[in-house]
Amino acid sequence: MGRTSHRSRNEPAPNRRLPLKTRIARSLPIYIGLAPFFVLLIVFVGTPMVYGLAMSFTDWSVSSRSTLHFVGLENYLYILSGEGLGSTRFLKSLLNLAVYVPITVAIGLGVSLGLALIVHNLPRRFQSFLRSGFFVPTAIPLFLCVGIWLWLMDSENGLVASNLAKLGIGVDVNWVNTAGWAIALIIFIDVWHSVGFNFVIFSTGMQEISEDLYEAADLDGANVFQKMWNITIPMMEPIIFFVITYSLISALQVYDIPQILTSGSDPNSVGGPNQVMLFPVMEMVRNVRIGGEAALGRAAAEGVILMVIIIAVTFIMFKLRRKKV
Amino acid sequence: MPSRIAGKKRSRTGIILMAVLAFIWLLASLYPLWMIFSATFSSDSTNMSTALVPDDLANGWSKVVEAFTALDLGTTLRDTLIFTLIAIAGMALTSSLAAYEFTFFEFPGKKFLFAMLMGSMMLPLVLYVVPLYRQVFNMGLADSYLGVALPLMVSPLSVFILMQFMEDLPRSFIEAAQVDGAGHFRIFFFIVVPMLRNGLITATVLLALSVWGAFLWPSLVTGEEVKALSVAIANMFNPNFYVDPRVRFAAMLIAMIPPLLVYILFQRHVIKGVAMSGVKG
Amino acid sequence: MKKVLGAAAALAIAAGLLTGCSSSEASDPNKKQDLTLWVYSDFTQGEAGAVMNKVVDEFKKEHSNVGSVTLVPKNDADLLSGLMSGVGLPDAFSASARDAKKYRDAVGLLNLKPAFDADYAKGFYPKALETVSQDDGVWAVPFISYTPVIYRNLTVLKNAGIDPAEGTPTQQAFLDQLAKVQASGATPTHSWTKDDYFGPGAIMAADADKITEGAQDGKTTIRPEELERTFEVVQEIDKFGNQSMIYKADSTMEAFKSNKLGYMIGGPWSEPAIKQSGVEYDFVLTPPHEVGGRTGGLQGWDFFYGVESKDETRNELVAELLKKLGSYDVQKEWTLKTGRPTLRQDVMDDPAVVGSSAMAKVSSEGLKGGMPQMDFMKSGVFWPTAMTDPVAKLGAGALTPKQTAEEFVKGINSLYAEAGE
Repeated sequence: MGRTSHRSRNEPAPNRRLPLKTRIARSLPIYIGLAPFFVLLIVFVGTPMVYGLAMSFTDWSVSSRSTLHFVGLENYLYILSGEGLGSTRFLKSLLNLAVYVPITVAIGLGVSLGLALIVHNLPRRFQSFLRSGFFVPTAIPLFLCVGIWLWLMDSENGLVASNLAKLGIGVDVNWVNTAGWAIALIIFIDVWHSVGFNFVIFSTGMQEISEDLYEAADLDGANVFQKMWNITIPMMEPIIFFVITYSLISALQVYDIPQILTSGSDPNSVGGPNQVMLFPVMEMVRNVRIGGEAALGRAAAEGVILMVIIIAVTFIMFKLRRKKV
Repeated sequence: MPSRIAGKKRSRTGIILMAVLAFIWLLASLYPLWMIFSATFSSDSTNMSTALVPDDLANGWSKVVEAFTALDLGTTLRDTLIFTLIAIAGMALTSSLAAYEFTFFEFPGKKFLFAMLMGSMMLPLVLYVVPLYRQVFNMGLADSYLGVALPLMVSPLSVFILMQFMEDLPRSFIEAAQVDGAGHFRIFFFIVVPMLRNGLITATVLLALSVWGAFLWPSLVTGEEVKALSVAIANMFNPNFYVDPRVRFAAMLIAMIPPLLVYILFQRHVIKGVAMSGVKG
Repeated sequence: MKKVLGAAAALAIAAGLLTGCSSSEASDPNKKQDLTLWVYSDFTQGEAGAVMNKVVDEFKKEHSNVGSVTLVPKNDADLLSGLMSGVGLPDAFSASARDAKKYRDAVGLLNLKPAFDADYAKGFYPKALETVSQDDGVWAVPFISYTPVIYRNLTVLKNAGIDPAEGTPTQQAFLDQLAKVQASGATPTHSWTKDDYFGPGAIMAADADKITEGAQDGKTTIRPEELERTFEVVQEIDKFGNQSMIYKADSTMEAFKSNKLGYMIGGPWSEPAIKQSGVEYDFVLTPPHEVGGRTGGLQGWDFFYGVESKDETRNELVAELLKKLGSYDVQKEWTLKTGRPTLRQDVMDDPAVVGSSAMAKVSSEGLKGGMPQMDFMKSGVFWPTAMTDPVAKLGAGALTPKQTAEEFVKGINSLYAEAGE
């Protein structure tokens, strides 16, 4: 991701010494070719994004559509103040996010990397078979995964929950509505859904590691685990980095699973009792649904805060990587 | 390599242990699908959570029929298919053109535009979905196939994947065509596109899976003219009106068939596409 | 394949453009009007769907200038997000009365006053009529209502030695029965604290006479003392509840259907599932504090709303259609066919209706003593939801009933503060 060095080896690059105007004029057909994609990008991503950003500084709401006021940072101050329902809910959703994201990313990474290492060492004939199977949950849309897991985690009879209870985990717990367990439930569903995707990335990456390295290690008498630790993992470093970054970005936007699990006709019930399953995007959608003064402006401000978090996390990840290399 | 490892005695137990673990996850991946099937095709008096084997096929079939008639699943499937196809068509044209320009040419502003493309991969739809909805409505496209499909066809990931495929194309073809005086777009349509078959299939299948599973956007923008499958299914989770759980399972089973079919048929391409999105890390 | 794709796309694009254009056409009085109604998903299915379709067919016959009437299923959540984004309105919609104020604020609702002549209006429950009539207008047609009921598994009761004919005359009687079920080895009930306001709200409504609901200066007029007794009872009931079961979950229903669960709270919408399973069951109103006390739980109402279209002909048609939906004949047929209660008193007191189904009978009773969920149409604050969080803490033992009541009142106040009322 993020690498722009697609040097065209054969195409006579526009002469850098020519004036910019000429270079632009000569590239006209190129811009025409890029236009359809970028027009769509600007109309359906850029404009709404900028609009949302601008509206986060106003008292944008359904009832006050005609008289929009600039309110400066008021929406931001309100949702971060800790005073009032909209604020306590939003802060709670950030707290849930802070618990959910690291755990789900770590478990998702651990399981998929572990499986990839295992499969890498199994005979070839199993490899493609296992890979096909592992990817199946990823091919199933998330809204269907939720429906499936509701039954598996039914505390009375659900196959997974009742077996966990036998091991002493979550005895007499309703996973959907109980603090802590609710987040565990979302992690279960998310990991189940996303492992296939990460696995495929890891497993393909491992196949591209040169055989010579392993042969050299064999000569040194290294066993399977030493080879994993000393060759496979270091060679996979860039891919692991990509998967972590990608998983972080998608985990920060968690929405479908908890929304479907706790949605009802009452907007305030979204997220479950005591907001055990409330996440920022859900709180944004709640603001849209409850209407009221500046509700849409607040929703927009929450979107901006979440975006800042996403950008910051991505930035930190790239920083960390640069330091290492 | 596998044979070499297997040849080492001390690793054999390790291998068996690893194989067992892998098969456990395989079971975890596939069992829930079986559960949906067996719960749907079980008799009404069986406890659905513990229905391990289908014990009443006729009852299950009646639930499937009910899902189609009472929930109007046929229309929903058709509509979802139509907007998925439009999104794919739009993506194929716009993304492959953009990938073509980025891969083969240098031009002023390339770095900036490419950064914009990559940056937009990070921006989730949920963050700007409300302004987007108003935008689409103001364009007169709310509750139309095109309205659902347009925002979904903007796929930076597809551009990225198609670029990977294009890099592997022999550049000599393009050079030769340029020498012959073929135009910019002529080269694209008559030389690049025909060679891009695999890339297009990969991007198409990945987009199809994600559009089929999209929930938030269709739930806002669809309604009377267009009915989305994800919305119809999520509606059934609404606690304040009753849908027989087996009918719901039957509907889920039906909703699952198209993506699974696409995956099974184009498995090689799906896996290649997913791998590509990560390999260039 | 590619050609097919292209053709499909072209067709669809053309269709999309056409849909976009048609809405901007100028209206012409002789032109046939196409009406769109957003209704709850279950209004398009089964018996309810059949009643709705019949009404629509008759309406089309009665009005020659109606082209089509389309019913689009939308639940409250979709509807709210759609309407609150301020775009994409149908001609009429059915929705919870809880959001009535939001709709009035956000949408130009059609004034239905001309349709409510005295003869027509007097059939509704006075409270319902009063609610929809505000500021010299009538803003909705009262339609259905529901009363929470407790479903009883008669097999479980028999095994526990409980005579169903006793009913549940008081909360204490209910607790005694729960204890008997527990002694018999079955699960008496589900958790009454882990889900939403529904169960505890029904208990609270038994104290409706004492609760001073209302708002003053952005604060609720309810005092914590008024609610203490409610939460004491909820805590007692919850001791018999299986804490991993919530009333909403499918698995709770499955346990009830397989004779493992004795008592389950629910709405009229739960009955078809139970009936279909063939299990022996009946249902009763939530118990009052003392014999003959108030019962009927918190009542949810649903209205039909019209949307002002700035087109006289269209407005008239919408008003006519809504009037028809709220008429004695339609609402009676609705109740007879679906078993679900309506907000027309003349229907709910009609002996034919009361005798038609157990649900109609119980609901008719419940409508007399129930407490409205909130101040519909005047306020946007659905205050009972504020009990969800403290009640969950009560169930977990983190709060006493007294503290629960205090937290609840605090919660109500923050709802008022957020709504700016």
